[in-house]
Amino acid sequence: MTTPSERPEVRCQDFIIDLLLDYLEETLGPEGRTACERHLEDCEACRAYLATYSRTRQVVGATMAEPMPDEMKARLRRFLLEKLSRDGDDES
Amino acid sequence: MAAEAARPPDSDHALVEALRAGDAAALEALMARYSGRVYRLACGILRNEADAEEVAQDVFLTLFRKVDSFEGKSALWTWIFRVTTNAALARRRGKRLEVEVPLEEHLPRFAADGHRLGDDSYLEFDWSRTPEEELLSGEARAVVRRAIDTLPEDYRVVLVLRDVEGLSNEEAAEAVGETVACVKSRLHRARMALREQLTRHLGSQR
Repeated sequence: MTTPSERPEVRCQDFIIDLLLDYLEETLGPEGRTACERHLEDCEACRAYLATYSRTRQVVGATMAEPMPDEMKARLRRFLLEKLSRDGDDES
Repeated sequence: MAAEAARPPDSDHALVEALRAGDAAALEALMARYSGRVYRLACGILRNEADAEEVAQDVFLTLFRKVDSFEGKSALWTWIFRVTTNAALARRRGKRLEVEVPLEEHLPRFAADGHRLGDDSYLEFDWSRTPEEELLSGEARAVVRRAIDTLPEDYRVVLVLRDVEGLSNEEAAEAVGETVACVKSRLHRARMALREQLTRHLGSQR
């Protein structure tokens, strides 16, 4: 078993590149999570990185969520019904 | 197709059964349930409304005509996302207009000791409490949109599936036919690249 002093420390690169995503998704084991938390306590830059990374995720979601215009929905419905009724005519 | 529309099926399973039977109400229900998401996904991949509309048309035709090929091993919407992703990517390959910027240009850089390279004031810049209206309008929005537009398409697809559609890593992996590890890696790199560009922009406004 490793003692705390033997445990390798998490560096900024380890946290940002290898651990951050799993840390956010809560898929790290307890040891990994504790190691990240210890690093975050001491590292203002990684705290800022984590906060802005999380916010980026929300900004991207909101920016890309293009609603389908109602008139487009109506056009889609007309297109499909027309096309499928033509399919039906061809079959008969 | 049956001429008489029955009550729309409640569950996806019932919907598939009704589609197989050629029920017009089922097609309506399928559109009502999924057209918004199909369009959003296609738009996210193609970044063009007219192209996304045509993809949505193709997708629903395919879903209706090929419903027998849906084996029911995965959720209906995972299948729909896969059909949509393939249709959008096929369309995009025909007309790749934007210049994709290599992600490496926007990824954080590190020194040999594992510390991130850059000025402390930049590295510690925390803009996460910036009001939403400031981030989602004007120049910041344009920066985000441009950054999304120039992501390599494989990365953008994963970003849409995870951060817009809310799929799990496993579902996104199934939709794009890649491993979960690959999806997670693309997602993380895409988010890091976008974060970097947004940070540079907001930092320049300080």
